[in-house]
Amino acid sequence: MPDDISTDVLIVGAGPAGATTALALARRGIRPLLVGPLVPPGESHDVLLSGPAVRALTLLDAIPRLPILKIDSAELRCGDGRPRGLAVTGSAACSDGALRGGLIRAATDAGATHLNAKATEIVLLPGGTHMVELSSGVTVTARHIVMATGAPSGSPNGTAVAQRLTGVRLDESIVMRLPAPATSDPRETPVFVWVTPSSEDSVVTVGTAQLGVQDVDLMARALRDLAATDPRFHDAIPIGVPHSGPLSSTFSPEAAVVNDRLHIGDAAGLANPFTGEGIGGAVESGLLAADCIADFVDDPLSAASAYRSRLAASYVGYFETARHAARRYHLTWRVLSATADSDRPFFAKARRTVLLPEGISSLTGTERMELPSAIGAVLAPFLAACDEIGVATIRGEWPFLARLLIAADSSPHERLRPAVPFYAALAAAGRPPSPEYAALGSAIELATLGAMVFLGPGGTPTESRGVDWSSTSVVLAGDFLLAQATRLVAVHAPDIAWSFSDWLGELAALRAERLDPGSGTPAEEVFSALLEFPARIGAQLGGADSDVVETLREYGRLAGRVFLHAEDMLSLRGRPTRLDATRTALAEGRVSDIDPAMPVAGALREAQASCGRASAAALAAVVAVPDETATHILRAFITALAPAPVCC
Amino acid sequence: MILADHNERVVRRMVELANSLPVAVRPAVVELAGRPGKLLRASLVAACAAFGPGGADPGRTARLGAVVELLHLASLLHDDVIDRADIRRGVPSAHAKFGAERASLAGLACFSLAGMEAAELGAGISRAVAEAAAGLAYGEMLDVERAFDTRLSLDDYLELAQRKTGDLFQLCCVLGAAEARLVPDVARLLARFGTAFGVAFQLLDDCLDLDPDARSGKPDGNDHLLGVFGAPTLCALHRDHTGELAALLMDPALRPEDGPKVRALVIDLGGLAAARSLAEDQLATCESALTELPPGEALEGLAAYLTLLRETTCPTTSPPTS
Repeated sequence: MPDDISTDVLIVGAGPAGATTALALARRGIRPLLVGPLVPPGESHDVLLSGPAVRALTLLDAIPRLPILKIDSAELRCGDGRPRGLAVTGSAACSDGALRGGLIRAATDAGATHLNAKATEIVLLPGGTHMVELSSGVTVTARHIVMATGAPSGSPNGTAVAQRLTGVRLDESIVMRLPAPATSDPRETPVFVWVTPSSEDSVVTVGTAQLGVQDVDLMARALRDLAATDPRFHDAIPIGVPHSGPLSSTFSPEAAVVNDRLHIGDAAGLANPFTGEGIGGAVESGLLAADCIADFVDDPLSAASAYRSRLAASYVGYFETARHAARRYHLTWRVLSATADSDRPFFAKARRTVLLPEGISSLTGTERMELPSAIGAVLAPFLAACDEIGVATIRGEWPFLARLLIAADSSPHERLRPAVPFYAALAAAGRPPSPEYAALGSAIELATLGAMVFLGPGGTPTESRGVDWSSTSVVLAGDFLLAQATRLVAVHAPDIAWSFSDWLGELAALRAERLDPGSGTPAEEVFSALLEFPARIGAQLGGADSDVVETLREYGRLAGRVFLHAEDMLSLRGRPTRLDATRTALAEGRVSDIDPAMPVAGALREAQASCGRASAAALAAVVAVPDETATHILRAFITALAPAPVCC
Repeated sequence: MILADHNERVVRRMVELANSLPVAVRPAVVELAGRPGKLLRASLVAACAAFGPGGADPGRTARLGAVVELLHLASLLHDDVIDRADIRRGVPSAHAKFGAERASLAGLACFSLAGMEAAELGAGISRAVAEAAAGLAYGEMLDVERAFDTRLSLDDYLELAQRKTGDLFQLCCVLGAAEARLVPDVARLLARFGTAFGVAFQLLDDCLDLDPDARSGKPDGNDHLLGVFGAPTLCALHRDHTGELAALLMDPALRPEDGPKVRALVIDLGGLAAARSLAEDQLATCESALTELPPGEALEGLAAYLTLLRETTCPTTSPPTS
């Protein structure tokens, strides 16, 4: 029967999500069947590929086939705030048509088969095989089905529109806008506008998206707004007609597998509800689906359940608030608008996390700890467990904050985070740390994030009626994180509940002292206390001798100093800092000890010297720690924390 | 009176703890601790502890009272930052005196004091206190994010009242029950009493906001200006078929002088009566818990709280009987 085909994997839909899955499967030696109509050549628009998406496609060797334009910076404007330049390293723009065509060719070259047809009926047969009728009359039987059919047109929860313009120059930079809410109504949903340059001179694509609306003329409004506020758009002329489509941000891990079919990309509702961006989710979920299928080729049910749980772990932060979704989006939108001009680290992070296509990959700095693989192998599961507990603790009630906790695309054990010295201190006496302490590690990290919320300059009070979102969000987020952290400790490590509360009180008092110009308390005291606690408590719980506990306390204090001096160094050099702060912001927030009036060269020398002294002392202290794994981690942490000094 | 002794011990402990704070965060906390208000929460701990057969240790009970009052102080300090309130307990608020940032840190210091005191009293205490604090923080968010929502459902309102107010009252009862080592059935009844009492308290407190004579030291109609609509206003909005009240509340030019007009409209639409009847539902839950509790002096003591709540919040009208 020549018309009947049998395959391991059938992918329905040949857009970016489906083609990426096909390519990734083919690279793992599985030859899938990719079914979907080709988009007719001609009119197209450009889409944005996030840094992680570009990296993933590079690993699949697909990038050489795509006519991409590299993008390195973004200009973000929230509400009526000033435009901010942000690094979006590794991103790219590509025409939608070329992306689809290039990915399909890459997949077929790698061994996938593409059929230019539609699936008209899919039936799950008893025994777990799927039977699929194609528009070409062919019948396919498949063990795995991947649905990459785009946002369901029946039940979208918003609209996304894209349109090309000519007469606009943007030099390798994208423009992003999140206009302020127009009313006080908490049911108003955010409208996001982005503009990306293309490989054609003076041609750009404008995209806009809004949840909760289906047929408003979003594009006209976006173009009006751009023309009114940005001279670069005065002479813009639309090319062709806008491409409009349903936006689906209705993701839930449970609904990602239906009738044993794996839904990916927009079909799984994975568009970012704030920005409408969907390519990142398409590529990432496509890769996850391919991995899960390749891991369980002979066991479709296990593949499906692995896919569901890995998706749940990756997509934290946007999708979890079924009942309160609209209001929680609105709250986040209010905060982003009201704090557009704030350099407080918490708000800077929130801007990046919620709006940038790269998500949070650059949140903790690009520096990575270098560890022997044997040590990485014991540290990684512990830190992954910390992430899991932390995320599970807050995702239900405040999902956007959960995004601040994790970096979905990087190895958890390479990031600079307080749970690292905590783990090393637990190991200091020579006993491998019990996994049960991950809950405490997570509490320490939630509390550190909460403490960071209270750092930095307060908002400028608003005079009009209504809520002062800047001060309010500091209190709300700080209280929420610290309460959850305290709860984790009370449940999982009641023996240190007192010390934990004492630590929070100490941080509050040190910060308050620091605000008083007459107190003489240096800013580094706050940071010393921040890292002293994880090192001290870890050493105590790990059963270290009292002199080793004392050594680790000192190490923690010094590590806090290294962190602060590193902030100074990076900000003085105009580099992105781990707190996303500038020199001015650090000074105004009384976060730094550097005299804001001091010339840069001298200030940098001073910061480098302080940083060098603190890191040398920390490295020297480590010698007194008996366990080799612990000393390795403690050294690597300091080395990665301290930026290399610049030579004169 | 025994209750007066208890409250006195609570205040002494609170002031003692507040004075142990580093000087940078001390003044705001000491000031509030020294003006303790009615100590409703701390006294509820003692009222529940009284259900124990042999009574409870007065020293520990007072320290538990200090824990709940400190948690309450922490939330007051932070609420004043959120509401930009100038007055608290009749005097300038910490927010007005020290600014938003220092007031926030003082609140955090208070939270930490409550946590340390709870930890000294036992692991179970720490856990109960932390659970309630988490509920409180979430309730705080629910309360803010619904600002200007003229269509907030009553279910959503009750959820936020339960988190924001009910969880802390429930904690008082749970701590009292734990201290008196009551059997689980009795402890559960007291917890149920506490939650409903807290929600009723919040509903009736919202009703008081509509009575300008009953409120001293609180700026008139501030909540309406902030877009935070209390139960009577929400109930009135549900009956506001012409949209007049919604339009008035959403008017960007709404001023404090418009307070009487808003109030009159809310009352005309039956909002106040509806909110009082919601409170009565909660008080009925409290009463049904009381009928199942063992009779005696302790029960009478607890029942007195319902009378007290009705008396202090419905000064002029008798509550509807439905």
